[in-house]
Amino acid sequence: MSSPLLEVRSASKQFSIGSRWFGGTQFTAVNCVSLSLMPGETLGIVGESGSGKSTLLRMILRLVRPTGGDILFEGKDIWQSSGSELLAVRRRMQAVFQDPASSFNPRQSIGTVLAAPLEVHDIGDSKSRMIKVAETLELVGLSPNYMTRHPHQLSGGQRQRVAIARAIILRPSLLLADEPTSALDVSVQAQILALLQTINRELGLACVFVSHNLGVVRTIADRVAVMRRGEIVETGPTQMVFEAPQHPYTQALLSAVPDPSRIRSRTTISSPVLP
Amino acid sequence: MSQPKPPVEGLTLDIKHLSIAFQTRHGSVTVVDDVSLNIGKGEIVGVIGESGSGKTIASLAVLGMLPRGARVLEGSVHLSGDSLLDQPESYQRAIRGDRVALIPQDALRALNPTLQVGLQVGEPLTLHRGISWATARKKAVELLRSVELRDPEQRAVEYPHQFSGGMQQRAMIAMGLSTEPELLIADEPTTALDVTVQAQVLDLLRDIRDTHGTSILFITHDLGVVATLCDRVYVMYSGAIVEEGPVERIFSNPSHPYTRGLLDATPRVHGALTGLTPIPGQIPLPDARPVGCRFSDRCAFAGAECRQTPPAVTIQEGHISYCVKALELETEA
Repeated sequence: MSSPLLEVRSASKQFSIGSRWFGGTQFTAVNCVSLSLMPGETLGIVGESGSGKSTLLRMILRLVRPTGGDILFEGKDIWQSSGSELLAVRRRMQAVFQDPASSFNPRQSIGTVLAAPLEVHDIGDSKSRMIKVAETLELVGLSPNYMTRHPHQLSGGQRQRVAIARAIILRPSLLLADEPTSALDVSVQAQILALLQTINRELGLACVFVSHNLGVVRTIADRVAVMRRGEIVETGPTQMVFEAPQHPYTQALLSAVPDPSRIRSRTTISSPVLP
Repeated sequence: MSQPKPPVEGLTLDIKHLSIAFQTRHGSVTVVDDVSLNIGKGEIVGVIGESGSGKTIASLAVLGMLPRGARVLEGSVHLSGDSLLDQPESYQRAIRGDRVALIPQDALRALNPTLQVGLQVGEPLTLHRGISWATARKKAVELLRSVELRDPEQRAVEYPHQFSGGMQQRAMIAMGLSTEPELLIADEPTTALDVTVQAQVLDLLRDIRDTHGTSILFITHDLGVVATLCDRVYVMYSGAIVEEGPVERIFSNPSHPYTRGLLDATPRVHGALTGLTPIPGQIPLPDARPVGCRFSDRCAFAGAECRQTPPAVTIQEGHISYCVKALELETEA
């Protein structure tokens, strides 16, 4: 049994609301969450808005400092790392976000966007970088001709392919995806999900996939964690959570999803667990 | 399961051969192409399509709210027999918010942040019924109660930012209902909401139809929502209707390759886990559609005959597919 790639140990995040001196209050976005991820595994985190799923992801990405607990990546606490050690962590851990339009510099060509991570980490010379960029574009299903284009010339699906290319160009071991298909149409969403599955398999990537869309998470994740009000209420293998949900909130959440196979059905939600 | 829809007497909305184009620097671009669509009294009709399918523009024509640069090329729109196109602005203003109401996707943006919710909900009554603000405010409390908002007296004097997303959408629905319109146009009203809140809003819309006999045009990209709520469905692709029929037929016997593709690309939460089949490619730009059938460049069944304008093939009464191979597909399935 190998050791976990990522370990979150009782991580918490409290935000201060209002003035610190005049009756400010604390809001707990993530409350003592623990999870672990094995190499090559895909973990889906589902929850409604305000459940803390994005804050958790941002703590793993080292964008939001936890107020309690530890986050270990490849055995090292990422919040204790600095300098070259931190640079190494960043190289092995990459992210894809929801809005492909806002995650690129509109003035840079796709080639420049994709070469940037290689430059930051000082990998290769300009010629070998371009070869690497072309290879990676092909890996995400785009022709190398796209190198000369600019973000606004691409469709939403193509931009998300480029975002995935940028994330995998350094060959990381962990991909963190925050609602990567939420802004896409269904037919394109299915393309991107298929691409992520292929890439995760081929590159042996582990993935934390955050989404509010239960169907999407069911499609892509090996394991699921259901979050509510900052806590994980249920976690387990995807099939078990979807076929036999144990927690009342998971049950309510699943029964609330409208399904194409249920014609004119009224959703019956057990109300006590809902806000 | 609710009862199937009552027999249709007279149409609330009747759109015939509607075409809408945008004028651009490079000429005229048709975004809604020969769309015919009708809604009976008390019927909930879904229009499903991905972005760029023209579903929103078609509904804006009903409201007389087409964006600048858009022009109706031909066709007619009738609301309970009254023509809505080529009418003076004053006529359309009298219809809007009175006989037809819009429930938009983003309720927070639609609400005025500087006015109390109660005033906004009651405003259509002062405009269309000439009642006083004081009476309208009282009526607004009743309307907020009818959309199952808790503590409506208090809510009426609050401002939109004090409401959650679901409450804002309920307030918009209450405003839409204030004049008891014949037609509610709901444009992705639940897309921004959490699933549990969405389920409550869908139940509310169904109750409104059942109690007031309101006709509802429901625009969405979510197949699950259509299946749950609607009586009949129109599937739009790249500006045109590709399939129409009762919701049972569309979901059990999809007879257009695009409808099938959408169903196969939708992740399911219930039932056995089946892999997703993406539709290759993307929706063509309105000025670069393939010749003949506009789905042909992404369609696995496309052949030489698809270079002709697709015929309307009746699969069963009320179920029409605009695909030359519809009957072949039917026998195959």
